Amino acid sequence: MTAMSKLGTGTRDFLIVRICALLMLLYSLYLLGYLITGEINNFAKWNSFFESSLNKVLSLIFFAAFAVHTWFGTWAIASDYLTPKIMGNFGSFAYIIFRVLVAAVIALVLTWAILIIF
Amino acid sequence: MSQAIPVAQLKSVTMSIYRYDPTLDEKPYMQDIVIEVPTDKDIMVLDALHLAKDQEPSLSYRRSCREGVCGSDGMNINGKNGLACVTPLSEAVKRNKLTLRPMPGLPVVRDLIVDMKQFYDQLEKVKPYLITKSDNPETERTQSPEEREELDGLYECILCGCCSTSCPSFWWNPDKFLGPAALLQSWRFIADSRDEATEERLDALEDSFSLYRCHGIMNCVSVCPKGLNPTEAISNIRNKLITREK
Ligand code: SF4
Ligand code: SF4
Ligand code: FES
Repeated sequence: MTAMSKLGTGTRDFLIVRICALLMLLYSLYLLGYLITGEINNFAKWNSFFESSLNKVLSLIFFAAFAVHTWFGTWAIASDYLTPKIMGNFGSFAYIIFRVLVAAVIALVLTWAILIIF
Repeated sequence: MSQAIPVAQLKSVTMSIYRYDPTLDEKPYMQDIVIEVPTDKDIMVLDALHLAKDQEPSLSYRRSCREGVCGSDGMNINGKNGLACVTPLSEAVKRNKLTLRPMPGLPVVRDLIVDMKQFYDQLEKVKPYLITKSDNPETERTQSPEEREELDGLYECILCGCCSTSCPSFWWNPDKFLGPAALLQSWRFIADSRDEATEERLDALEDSFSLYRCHGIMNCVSVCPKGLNPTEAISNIRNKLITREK
């Protein structure tokens, strides 16, 4: 983390987005493994999967990674298209609205995830 | 006895050319000009433009070397950026039609001529020249053949602008994203064994826009008339940014 803080914003964001993507991928493979091997084949087993503290923590990490990845990723899109150059005077306004919406959706998903997991 | 000179076979091609003279036209329009071209040999798009200009003397475009060296006749040929002088008509013409527009994203000065200021401003930011700090050696600063080879595929850039003006990231943020041409030049000097400003060069690219706005779309690679690979140069710089010790 100290190494991270010395990086420029571009390099830092690039690494954060990639690392979060990797975490999400690993978790998805982990869960997929359970599904494919038939370890989880009914709702009761699905439920007990999320009872384990390890899986609770892993799931939480997944959702945190999702939140961060989405936040940074949508920023890149917004700062490409929702700008005064592309949209005229409406640009800055559209940018703020979009960012607030994304923040709201992320907050909603996170709360929902926490409520379900715990 | 004089021999009959064979009359060249001609066929007509319709050119649809972007026209705009800000002093006369309210807005840009496309003008169709039909030219007659020989069937027995290929000509270049630039030659076709000359034929069109014979009919329409006000038609404006830049050109100088007419052999892919000076980089002045970059334009959008049937939807793809390229140099008119080295693009054969046979490759460019689709269904007997040739559509020519100025390179996208830059302000149009007139017809096919764009204002390249934004492009040059970005190039200037990467300090496209050798920077040294150590004392001058007795003779010139030398390189081994291997070190020199590192610059192949980089020094050949003629700054035509075809790559940067086909890059969506450059269209959206031409003032903040340096664009493929400038980044290729940045790597050309980072990769140069004689240059002594690598760290400063990298520091200047650390922000969120200058380099990191490249999303790897690779339009730049597909249009470069010199066959260069800016995307690879950009990922080389990125690898250096990520792995360097601070
Ligand atoms: S990299 Fe290729 S397309 Fe880009 S400016 Fe140089 S020569 Fe032109
Ligand atoms: S690879 Fe990068 S620089 Fe090249 S066209 Fe795509 S976004 Fe632009
Ligand atoms: S006229 Fe010089 S590159 Fe085409």
